[in-house]
Amino acid sequence: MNIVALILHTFRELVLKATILILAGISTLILIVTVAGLKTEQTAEGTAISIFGNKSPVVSGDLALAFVRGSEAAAASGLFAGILFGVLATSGLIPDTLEKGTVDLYLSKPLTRGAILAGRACGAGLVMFLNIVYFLGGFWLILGIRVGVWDARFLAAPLVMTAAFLSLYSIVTFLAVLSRSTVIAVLGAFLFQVILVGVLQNREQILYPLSANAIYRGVLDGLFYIFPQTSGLQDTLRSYVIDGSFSWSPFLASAASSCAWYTGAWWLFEKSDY
Amino acid sequence: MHAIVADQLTKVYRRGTGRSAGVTALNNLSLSVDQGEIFGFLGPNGAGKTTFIRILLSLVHSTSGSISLLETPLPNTQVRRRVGYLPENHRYPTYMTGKDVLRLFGRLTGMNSVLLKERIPELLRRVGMEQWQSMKVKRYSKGMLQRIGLAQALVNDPELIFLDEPTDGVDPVGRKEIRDILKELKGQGKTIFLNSHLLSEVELVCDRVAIIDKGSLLKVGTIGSLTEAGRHFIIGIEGILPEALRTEAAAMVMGISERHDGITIDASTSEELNRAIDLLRRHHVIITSVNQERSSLEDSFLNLLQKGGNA
Repeated sequence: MNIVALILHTFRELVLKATILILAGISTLILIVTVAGLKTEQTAEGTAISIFGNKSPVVSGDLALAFVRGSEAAAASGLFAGILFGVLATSGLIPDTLEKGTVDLYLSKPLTRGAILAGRACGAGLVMFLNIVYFLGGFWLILGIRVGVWDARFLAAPLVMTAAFLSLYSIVTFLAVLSRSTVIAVLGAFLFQVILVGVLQNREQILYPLSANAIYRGVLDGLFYIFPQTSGLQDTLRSYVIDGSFSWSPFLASAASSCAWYTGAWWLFEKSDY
Repeated sequence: MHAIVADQLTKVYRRGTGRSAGVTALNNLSLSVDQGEIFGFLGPNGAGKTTFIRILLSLVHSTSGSISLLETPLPNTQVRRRVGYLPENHRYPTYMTGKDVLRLFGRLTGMNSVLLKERIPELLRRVGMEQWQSMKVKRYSKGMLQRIGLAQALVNDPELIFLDEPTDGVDPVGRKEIRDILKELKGQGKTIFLNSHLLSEVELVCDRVAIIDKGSLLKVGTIGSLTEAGRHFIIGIEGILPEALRTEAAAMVMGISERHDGITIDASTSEELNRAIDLLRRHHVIITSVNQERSSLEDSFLNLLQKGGNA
């Protein structure tokens, strides 16, 4: 299928542009620091853990599991910031495709416009998924080997993180098709993730007090659901890793929102002249 | 069988809002191109040539009218498997080599790796890029980019090929090579739709041409019909025509003038020409050649545009 060729091309492009190397390099650096900083020693009472020289009480059983899960949750939360970096690194893919002289070549091939967008977004998603698997898998292995606790629940984290990336990428895709500009696509995604997500997530504390008007509050609620709920995904992942509680609601809301943004991007692309 | 049929094609680009905000790029343009011919598409800048090609390739949506490519009504994505396109000012990913470019666009047309393994070396050799196939595209000269672009347009062995300024930036030797490739493709039964500013090149390779201006079709015809022979005959003679003889000859034909290598005669009929030749021969003028002067494609093109502009 031609779309597979486009996904593989996107993957290859990110390899040749060293994007994957940079992402993997950062992950490797963090993993090396983790290996160097996390020392353990098995004693009769349990495992003695030292983090950068700071010794913690000997842990065993549930305490060891809680330590591992807390560390994993912290790593996953930290990686959400890494996803923004991933968005930055891959945000040029669609504007580059839409540049005059390039878009002509793609559109003259037996590919639908939807397939072109999907191929680029899925290619970026594949690269991010592999990087996330590398980083989180590496972290999981280090903890497992050092502490001796193998927490299978954490293996779901790459899927949640990739879903969060693809949700955020739907906004990048829409803005890229709308503006054909990498700068606007990136700025829009950052504005959304850094400002809008936080403000809308906490609208009851930040924005509700400004007015008691029902329409105003309804608009704020609407905006909250229009955008992908990446912070909800982050919270869900954290609670799932720590205590196993899981909510589908941020997944469904993000999936619906992302579908709407991707559909909007496709519609704009479909009706545009190049 | 027609490779391209455009019927009453109109494209109005909307700029802003309001009734006067539209720019008409194509105005009820109807045109058909037969399979197996090299068809030239000519017009001044802004005439609508590129818009027409872009509509045929579904890059631009027409405002009204219908099109079919290779007997398939558009829109149809799959027909593009049988089409090749070399755009003007094409841009390939700069981190790729020439060979990578062909592999990528071959895969995007649905070719598998086995077919591409055979096809790519053959194409690289054909366009003279064999020795630069592993060089990054960013280091290519304009001429090399055109060559690799042509190979890209041919990678899927298309039946219908659109070439937008294919010899742009290519040296004379390269141009000749590209012309040879086009002739070879025609020999294989391919249809070539050629958009070029180089009228002399169009004249050399095209079977038929269409001339458009301001989005409207001015004329379609064979090169022969567009560069139709006039009534000027150039008669090469040895020596200088005596004044008395010149006056006598001028009385027989519509006009006569001297040139460095002979005389030019305007004859309304062949009989008139022959009477003039008889006169010259009776006076022992040595005739070295008789040629009918044809107007060049450029002359016809400029005349048509002028007429179109005056109309």
